[in-house]
Amino acid sequence: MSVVQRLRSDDRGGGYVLAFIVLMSVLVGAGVSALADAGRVSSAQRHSSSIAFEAARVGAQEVAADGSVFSLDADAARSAASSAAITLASQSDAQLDGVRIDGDEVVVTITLVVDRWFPGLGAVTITEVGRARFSTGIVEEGQ
Amino acid sequence: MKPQRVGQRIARRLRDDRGNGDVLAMIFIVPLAFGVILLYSFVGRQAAGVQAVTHAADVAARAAALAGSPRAGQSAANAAATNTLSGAGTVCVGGPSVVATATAWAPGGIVTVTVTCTIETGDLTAIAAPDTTKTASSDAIIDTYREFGP
Repeated sequence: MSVVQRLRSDDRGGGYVLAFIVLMSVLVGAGVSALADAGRVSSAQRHSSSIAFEAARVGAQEVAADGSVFSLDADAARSAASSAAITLASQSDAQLDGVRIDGDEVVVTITLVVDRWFPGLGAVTITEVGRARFSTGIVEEGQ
Repeated sequence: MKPQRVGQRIARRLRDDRGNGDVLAMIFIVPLAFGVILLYSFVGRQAAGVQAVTHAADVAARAAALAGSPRAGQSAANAAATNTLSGAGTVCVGGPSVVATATAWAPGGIVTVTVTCTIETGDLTAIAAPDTTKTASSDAIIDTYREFGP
């Protein structure tokens, strides 16, 4: 066999090249999906939090007046917050998990399921809570 | 030196592949690793952009709902979205597009703000990364006891 023929038939290291290609492909794919998942989950968390907060704000504006004494109308607050949460969540996959009235505070819980792209990881359920408190004596923004 | 010994030396030199792996690494692996790093940078920037645009829409919707008129609402939404994206370090080609609409510009009305941003990737030309456009919408409800005008 000539030198040239010997060089052409020499496949030493061929297994290493294949292993490298496979390993790099897996690492790149895993890295890309992990980064994408991080962004999607964080984005879903922020959006769910915003929905919960907005719905709680709506509920906290339900006033019960007893003469000159004002307080939170619990039943109306729960109904208003629930309705608002369902309306706001309808634009996404978010779901209303519950509305709780804690004294003069309205607490809204929103859940959202995000399917992760990273191989082997299942869906993650995001739970965000929004709170708003009924207050009196506020006469301008920022108080 | 006898020709036979010269031939043996040449053959031994041809079989000697010490250092071939280092050469392969320099020529192939280093540029590939650099490309993978840029790819991760591109994907990470897209993920951060999605977060930023979503958050900007949320903030802008709330700002518009707190404003006192439709015009003030649009202005407040523009400012809120721009500041939020700037604070997040997300650069939009030509600036973000912000559109504020409402079912009714009155107490109880639902304000919808849509933010569109074309994320700049000009510094990733080595991997021919394209500019990508992200859009997010968010709703906010105008307060019951808020004074609202035309």
